[in-house]
Amino acid sequence: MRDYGKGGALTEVTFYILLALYTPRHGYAVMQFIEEKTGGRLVLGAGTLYGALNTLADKGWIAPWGKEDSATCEDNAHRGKEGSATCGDNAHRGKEGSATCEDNAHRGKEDASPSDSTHRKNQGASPWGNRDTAPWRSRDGRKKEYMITPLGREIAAREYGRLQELTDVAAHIMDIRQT
Amino acid sequence: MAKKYYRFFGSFLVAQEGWLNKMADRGYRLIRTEKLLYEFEECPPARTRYRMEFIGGKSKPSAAQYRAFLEGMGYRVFYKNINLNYSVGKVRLRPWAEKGGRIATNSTTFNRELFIVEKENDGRPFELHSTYEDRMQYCRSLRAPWLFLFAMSAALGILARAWLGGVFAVFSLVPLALYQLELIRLGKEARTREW
Repeated sequence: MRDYGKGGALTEVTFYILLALYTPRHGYAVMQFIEEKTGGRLVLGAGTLYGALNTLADKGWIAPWGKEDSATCEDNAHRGKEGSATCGDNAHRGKEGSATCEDNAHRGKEDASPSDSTHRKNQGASPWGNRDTAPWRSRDGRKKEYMITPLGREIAAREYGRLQELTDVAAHIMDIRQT
Repeated sequence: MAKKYYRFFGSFLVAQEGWLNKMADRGYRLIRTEKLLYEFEECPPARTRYRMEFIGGKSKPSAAQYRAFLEGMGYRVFYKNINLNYSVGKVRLRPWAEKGGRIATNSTTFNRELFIVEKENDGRPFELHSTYEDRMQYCRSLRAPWLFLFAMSAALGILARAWLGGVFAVFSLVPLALYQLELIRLGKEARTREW
């Protein structure tokens, strides 16, 4: 990817992914976020998104959420069994180390492994019938989530400043031309 | 009721994709694949869409990770072979593949070079690669094995003065040229637009 942390501009896709990951999200949620914020103008392909997430993770701008080496480690006292780090109250965290700070009381059964076929059959709402795993879930029953790292936030802030400068220059030139 | 079809498309990914989508339009949904076999079940017409993805350059863990990601996005993914090869204990060298994927065996990536990716038809275009940069990267991964084959065949033909090497070199030049032209086209577009 042609994204240079030190001086160059970020691509639109990269900047939107960084913005999406200010909140922990999995791949599908990132795709939906970008599509929603751009009004359907930018629809990322799954392959493109996969490559982008891996590249940004390699650069250290984002990190998997809910693991030992997770992006934010502000309060280690709250680390759950999975070693996930969060800034919020972890008292409600499910065994799987939920990435979000929402109510996870319902997560127990939903995070059943794919080997739990009885559970899969009961999930319903699947257009694929009983033969397949439930939609939207990876084979281990969880979706891998990412979150932006402090370095990523710095990069995003720099990009915001660059875009502000570009907007100001464009507005000035266009205003002059209009008069 | 399941219907079985026996087809071999080899590296003609576009043809395979087109055929799968035609079957989907007729009301058949893929449920199982083997080397030559495509098994379908009946479903409402145009319920699903298919895309082919070449993953021959990936290692086994990398391919599994990508598959898990695609399945997490709500797609169904099938592994598919690009070669027609019945063997046990096969080892194939792929210098053009990524680290971990350069030695392909029956238990790793041999006969698992393709993904058939299925999604529910929502009326929107089904693209796995949307930006020019990513499409160029994918195109390079498609070109890599043909470039390797061309180089090896040409070297064999010249050094060993073997006409067979020349034949393979000419044979591999066609897809190589097509992918190269596509790369040039995408590169031109990428100079001014991101996607």
